[in-house]
Amino acid sequence: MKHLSDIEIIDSVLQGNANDYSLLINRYKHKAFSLLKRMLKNEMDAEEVLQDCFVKSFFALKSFKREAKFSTWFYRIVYNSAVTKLSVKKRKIEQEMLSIDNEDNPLMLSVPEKEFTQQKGELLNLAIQELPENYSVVITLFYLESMSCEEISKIINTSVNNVKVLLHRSRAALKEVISQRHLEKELL
Amino acid sequence: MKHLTRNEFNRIVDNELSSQEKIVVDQHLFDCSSCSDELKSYKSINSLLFDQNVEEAPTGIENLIMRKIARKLRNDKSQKTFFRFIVSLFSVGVLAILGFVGYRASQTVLQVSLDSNMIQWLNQTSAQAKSFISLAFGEKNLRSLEVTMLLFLVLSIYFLVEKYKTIRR
Repeated sequence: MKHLSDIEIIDSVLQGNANDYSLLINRYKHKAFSLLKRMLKNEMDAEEVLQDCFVKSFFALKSFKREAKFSTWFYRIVYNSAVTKLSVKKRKIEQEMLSIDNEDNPLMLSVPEKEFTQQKGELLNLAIQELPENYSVVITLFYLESMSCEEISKIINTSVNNVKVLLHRSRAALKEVISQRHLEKELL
Repeated sequence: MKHLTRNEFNRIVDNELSSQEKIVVDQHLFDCSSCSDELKSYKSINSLLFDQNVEEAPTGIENLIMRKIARKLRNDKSQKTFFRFIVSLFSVGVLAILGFVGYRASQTVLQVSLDSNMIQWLNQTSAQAKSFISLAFGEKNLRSLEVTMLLFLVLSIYFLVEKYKTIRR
């Protein structure tokens, strides 16, 4: 089958071939899921938000201006949806903390210790999930999506210099996580 | 030279050093094993990140998404039909009100110029409409029909405003 560009697929969808949208879904689902899972630190939430993002972007396709790449536009939707989900989640946790005095209950966002006994790729994913959301976003977009700092700055709505600083800090933070978990041998 | 900073390590990894800076840094790395080791770990983190795996989305998620889209498209279609129905209702309401107003006006204010063909036609049509409605609903119900029409009009305006708000959202 001929490899269609994102723009060609979008044109086809806008002409009424809604089923062609599944091509875009298949193209971006894994990477967008990786980003969401790292930001939300929960597979169920990531899946739910991923579905919403694709539905939202389908109905917003008409408003997509072709000045930027589709990927930049789409990841902006993904990023904003994840940020909204996180703020809702944090508010919910805060409310629960107010109503229940649970000193022994750690915040649910951390990755369980037992999970650090797996293969290299999975270990790295878990280490990245330990990072704060803005670090894992920058790492995922820069390394996994091969995006430039400029593109990332458009997605997370900040300056290019800020993205560079975040990238530097996230590498250092990842190094810290790896050494805290004694994973140097397995990963480095 | 002092030990290299975190920023310098990152700039080395990202190939952002100028040629002059590079000479100074290379010289320091040659002399300082601690910075040399630190740079190695930065470089291995960098290559590790380049080799990272994509996490696979759950299987069949595209079908779920396409089904959600189809459902939403259907809902939008039925909303459009409902909207068209409300617009028609609104138009009927406006026409009915205009008809009644026209009828009453021709009965009172315009009675002096009854010789005008247009007014005569209006008068006749209104009278026919009135007799038809009286036949269908009875003389007593004529006023309540007017009120019902007015109610329809108000309701239509309300639905139109609500729809406009949804579109704006």
